[in-house]
Amino acid sequence: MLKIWNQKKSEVEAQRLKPKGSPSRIRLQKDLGELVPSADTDIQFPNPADQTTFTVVYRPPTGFYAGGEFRFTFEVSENFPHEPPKVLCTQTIYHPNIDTEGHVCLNVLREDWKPVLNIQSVIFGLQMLFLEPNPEDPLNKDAAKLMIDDRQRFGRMVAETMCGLSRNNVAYTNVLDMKNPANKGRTHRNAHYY
Amino acid sequence: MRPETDKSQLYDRQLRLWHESGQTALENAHVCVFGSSALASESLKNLVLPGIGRFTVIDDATVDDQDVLTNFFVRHDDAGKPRAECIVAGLGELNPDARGVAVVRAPADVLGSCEASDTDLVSSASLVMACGLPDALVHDLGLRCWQLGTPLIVASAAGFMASIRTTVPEHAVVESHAEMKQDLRLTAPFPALLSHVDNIDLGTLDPTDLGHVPFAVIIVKALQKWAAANGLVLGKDTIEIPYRRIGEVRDIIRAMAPASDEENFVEAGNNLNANCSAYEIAFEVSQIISDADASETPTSGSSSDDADLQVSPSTPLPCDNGSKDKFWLMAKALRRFTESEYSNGKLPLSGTIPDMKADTKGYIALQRVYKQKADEDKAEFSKHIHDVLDAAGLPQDYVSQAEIDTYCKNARRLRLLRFTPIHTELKSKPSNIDELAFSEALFHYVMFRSSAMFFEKHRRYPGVPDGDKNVDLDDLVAADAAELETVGNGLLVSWGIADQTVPNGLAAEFARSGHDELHNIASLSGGVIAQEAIKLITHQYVPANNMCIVDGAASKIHVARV
Amino acid sequence: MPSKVCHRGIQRFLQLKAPHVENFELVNDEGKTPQQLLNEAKVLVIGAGGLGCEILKNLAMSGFKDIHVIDMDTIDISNLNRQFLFRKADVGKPKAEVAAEFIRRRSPDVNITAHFKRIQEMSEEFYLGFTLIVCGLDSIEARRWINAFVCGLVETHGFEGFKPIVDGGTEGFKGNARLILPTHSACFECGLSMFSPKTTYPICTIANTPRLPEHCIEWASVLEWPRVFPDKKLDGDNPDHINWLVEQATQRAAPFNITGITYSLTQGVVKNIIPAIASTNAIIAAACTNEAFKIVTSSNPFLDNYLFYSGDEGIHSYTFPYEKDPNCLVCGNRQGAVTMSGDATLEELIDELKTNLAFQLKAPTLTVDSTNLYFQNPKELEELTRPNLEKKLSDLFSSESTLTVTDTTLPTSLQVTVTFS
Repeated sequence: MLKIWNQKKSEVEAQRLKPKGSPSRIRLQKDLGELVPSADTDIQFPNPADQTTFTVVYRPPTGFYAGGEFRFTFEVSENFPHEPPKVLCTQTIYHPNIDTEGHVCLNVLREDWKPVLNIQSVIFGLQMLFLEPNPEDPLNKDAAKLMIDDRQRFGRMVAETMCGLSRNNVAYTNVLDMKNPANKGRTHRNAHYY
Repeated sequence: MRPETDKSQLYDRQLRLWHESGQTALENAHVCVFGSSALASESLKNLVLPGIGRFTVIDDATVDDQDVLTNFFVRHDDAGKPRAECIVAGLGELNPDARGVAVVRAPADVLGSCEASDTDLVSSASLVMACGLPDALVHDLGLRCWQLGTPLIVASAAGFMASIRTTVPEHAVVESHAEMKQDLRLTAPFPALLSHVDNIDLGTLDPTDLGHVPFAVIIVKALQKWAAANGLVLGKDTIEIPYRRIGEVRDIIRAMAPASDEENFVEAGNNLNANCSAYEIAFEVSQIISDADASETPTSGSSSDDADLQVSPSTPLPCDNGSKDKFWLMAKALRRFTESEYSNGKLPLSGTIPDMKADTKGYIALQRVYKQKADEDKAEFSKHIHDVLDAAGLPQDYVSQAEIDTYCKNARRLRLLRFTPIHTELKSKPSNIDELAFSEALFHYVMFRSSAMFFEKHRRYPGVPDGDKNVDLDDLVAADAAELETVGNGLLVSWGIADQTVPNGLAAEFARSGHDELHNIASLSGGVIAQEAIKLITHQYVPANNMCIVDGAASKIHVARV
Repeated sequence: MPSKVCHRGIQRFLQLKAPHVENFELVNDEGKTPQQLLNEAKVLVIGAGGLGCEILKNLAMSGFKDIHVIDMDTIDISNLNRQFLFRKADVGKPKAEVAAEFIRRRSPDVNITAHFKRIQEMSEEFYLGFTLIVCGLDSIEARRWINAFVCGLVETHGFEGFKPIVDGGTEGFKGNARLILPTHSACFECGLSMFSPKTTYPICTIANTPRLPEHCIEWASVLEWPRVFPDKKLDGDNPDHINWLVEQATQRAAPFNITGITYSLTQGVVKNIIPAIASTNAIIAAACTNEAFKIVTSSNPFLDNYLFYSGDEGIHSYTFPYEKDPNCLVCGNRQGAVTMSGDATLEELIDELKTNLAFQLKAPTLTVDSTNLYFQNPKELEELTRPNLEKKLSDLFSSESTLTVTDTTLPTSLQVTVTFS
C-alpha cells in the first residue's frame, strides 16, 4: 500500500487539505454566494446556519401578478446537484403552471434538471412563470384555458384570488405585498380595478 | 391486484428482465454439470437462485482440505465425502424450488457408458456444463451435445485466468431485447398513418394544439413537403434522405413551427436523424428469412443419430430440426409475409411507439393507428403460419397466439447465432483463426490449449510438482513456463499465425497458478457462465458467440470467436 | 478448527514471483510478506445486499481474516433471488448481522464484525482503522458520501488516511467495478455525470396530458397521495400503499384509454426499481474482490481504474482509466494557504484573497466548518454575516483552520488554511 501511496506522493503533498463539508454543501455555498441580487426577490433562511432549507420570495414587478408576493420553499438534499432542489409554493394561488397544492410545473425542477444548472436557474425559471405564465403546458387547466380564451377575465380572476377571495370552492391566499405603495387600499372589493 | 404471488415478489428483480416467459423456461430447464469444483458450484449458485427447475452434478471427487478453502458450498465437516453430493446439498438450501441430484461417478465413466440412464443425463438436459474436464472428455461431450443440438458451456480456470466456451449448432432468439431505433416507418408510411396525418391540418390549429402535435406527425408532414419538392410522393416512392440533406427537412420543420422553442417541433428535429433513412430489414433478420427459404426445400431425414456425422463448421446446419422448430416455422411464415404483396417487403409492424410531447388525445390516436396496423399485420402473418403448419402436417394450435404475438412484435430484432463445434476444434484447430488472430484473447486461448497439451504429456499441469519430489517451486514454475511458451508458440505456428508469439510473462503467469482454481475467479466466471446459460435457456437476450476469457491479472475480460 | 491457512492456489500467488508486477518483492518496504499483509488487512464492506453478500463470501474465501460489514437495511423477500446468505426465515432481520453470521459459520477462522448502522453514523476513527473499503451500494447518495469522506481522510491524515475504495455497481446484465485511490485517481464524484438522474416526467404532463401508464402512476403518487394523505409518507414496500396507487392510476388511465398499469410497474416507478440478478452481482463482486486481493498482496497489477461489463447482447467489456475531473466537487477543490495576523479582520483576509496573485478572487464567500463567515449573497445572509467583516480572525476561528471559499472564478472551492502569524 505504501508503494502505491509513494507513486504519487509529491502530487498528493501539493494538495493535502481536506475539503470542509460535503460536495453538496460546497456547491450550495457557491450557488448562494453567487446569486444575482435582485430588488424583487428575497431569500429567507428560517435557520441561517442551515442553508439547505430556505424560502424564496418573489414580487413580480409587472404582469398579471404584479403587486403580489409569492413564496416558495426550497429543500436541497445531500444528493444536490445530482438531484434538483425540491420546490413548493406555500400559498394557494391561481396560476396556469402552479396547482392549488403548490406543485410547480417547471422543466428545470424535474425532467430537464442537469447538475450544471444551479439555484439561480431555478429562481430565474420561477420568475419567468410569473412574468409570462405558459398556458400551453398547464398544471391548472382551468386557469390556462381562461388565460387563452379571455385574457381580461383571467387577469381579473388573478387579481381577485390574489386578494384572498374564494373562487370555485377554493380559498386562495391573500398574497398582496402590503409594503408596495401601489397596493394601498387594495382589497378584494376593488380587486377588479387592478 | 394483490402483490400477486409469493413467487412474483421473490423473483421481482429478475422478472423485470426476462418476464414470465423467461421464468417459465428457467423453471422447466434441466442443467447437467460435469465437475463439482468451485467453478461448477459458483455457476450453479447463480442458476439455483433465480429458480432453475432441475440440476444434476456429475463427479466422483471427494472433498479434501483444499476444497473447503475454495468451494463455498462444501463445509469443514464434509472432508472425505463425495463433493458432488456436498455441493448439491449446499446449493439446495438456496432455493427449495430448484431440485438438485448428485451422480457420484467419474465423468469419464458416465460419458463412456451406453446405459440409457446415463445417456439420458445429457439428452434430457436443456444445457450442459463442463467445468475443468480434460480435453479428451470435452471432445466426447462436445460431440454428443452438438449432435443433440444441446448447448454446452465448457469452462476451465487457472489462477487469475479463466476460459468460457459456448457451443451449440444454432441458437435462435425472438426476444433479443436488442436496442434498436423506433419502428415508426415515417419515410414509408402505411396508408392508415398517411391518412391520419392528412386529417390533421396544422394550419387550422390554435397555438396550444399546434404545440401538442406528436413529432411523428410533424416529421411525416415535413417529409411530404420534402418529397414533393423533389418530385416524389411519400407513401409511394422510396424516400431516403442522405445525411447531408437532412438539414433541408430540418428547415421545413423549423418553418412549420409557431415558435423556435416549441417543444414538440424541437423534438421532431431531434428525431430526424433516426427517421430519414429508407425502410430496411436488419441484416440479421434478412439472413434468417433467407435461411428459412433454404429450409423450404425438404432436407433428407435428419441424421443426428449418426455418431460419425462430421459437421464442417463452414457449412452449418441450415436449421436444426427444421420441420418442427417453432422459430423456423415462423421464419417460413415471415418469409411468405415479407414476400407478399400485402407487406411490400416489410416486416410485421411492432406496434409500439415511444413517448412524444403531445396531448393525450393526439398521442393515443396515433398510438391506435400503429396498434391497428400491427394487429392487421399479425392477422396476415397468422394466415401464413397456418399455411406453413398445414404444409408440415402440424395442428393449428401447434403455435399459440401468444407466440405469434411475441414473434411479430420482435420480428425486427430476431437473432440467429451459429456456433462452431468444440470437438473438431480440439482435434484440429480453431474454426475462426483469422478472427482469433486479431483478438486480445488469442494468447490466453493458446495458453489454455497449451496447458491441456502439457497435461496430456506429463499427466500434471504446468507448475504442479510431480508427486512428493522436493523441488524448488520457483525453479519448477520457470522451467514449466518455458516449456508452456514453446508449446504455445508451436501452436501459433501450426495455425498459421507465425508472426505472433506468446507475450512475455503470460506462460509464467499460467505456470504460477499450478492450474488451481481461485475462488474469486471461479466466482467471476460462474457469473459469466450463468448469464450465458440464462440467455441460452430463456432464448432471451443474446449469448456471446463463442468464447470469453477472464484475465483477473490484468482486470480484463475478452470475447472472441474460435 | 483450521488455523489461519490459505488455499493452496492462493498461497502460490503469495509466494511465487509475479511476472507482471514491476519490482515484485516477497517482503515489502514495511518488512511484511504478502501472506502477512493478507492476514492483517482489515477490510470494510459497505452494503450487505446483492453485491455485499458476494463480496463477503469472496473475501472470506480469498484469505482475508478481518472483515467488517455495515448495512442499515433489513431483509426483504425480493432480495432472496440473489442475496444468497439470506433465507426466507430471515426476512425482516438486519442484513449485516445475518450475512456476518452466515460467513462466521462457514469460515470460522475469519473474524467478521457486523454493523447494523448508517455509514454516516460511524466515526472517523472507525474508518481510519481499515486497510481498504469495498462498496456494494445501490444508492448514489451513499456512494457520494463515502467517497467524499474517504477522500477527505487523505487530506487530514496523509498516508494513514489513505484507504483505497473498490466500488461496484450493477443494473440488469450490466455492471462496473472501479478502483478509487483517493487523491491519486478519479474519484466517484469525478464520474458522477455517468449516472443519469432518476427518470422524471413533467408535472404538467402528469396532471393534464398523460400518455403512458407511468404518467398515471406518477399522478397517483406525486399529486394524489399527498393530497389525500397529507400526513402519511408513501411507502413503496407497503402493499396497501401500492395497491391504492394501482387503483387510482387505473381509474385515472381508463378515460384516456391508457393501458398497462400493473402492480409491478407501479412499484417499479415509485421505488425506481433497478433489475438485479445473481449472475451480474457475482461478476462485479468478484471483480471488486479481485482488486482488493491484488492491492493488498501485490500479486498482480491492480485495475486502472474502471471495468465495464455488459451481457445484454453478447458480452462487451472494457477496462480503461477514467480521467479525474478537474472541476470535481470532491477532488477538484483548489488548495491554498495564507498567513495573517490573528488581529487582522475578516475584511482584510477577503482583500488578501482578492489581491494576492495566487488567488485573485472577485467576490469570495467564506465558511469554516459549516459556519458562515461571510456570504456575498443572498441579501439576508450578507446582512447577517456582515458584522463578521469587522471582527478579528482570532475571534472567528483558530489558527490553521481551513476555510471553504467559493467564488465566481473558481469551478468548485478553494480550501484555504489560515495561519496566524
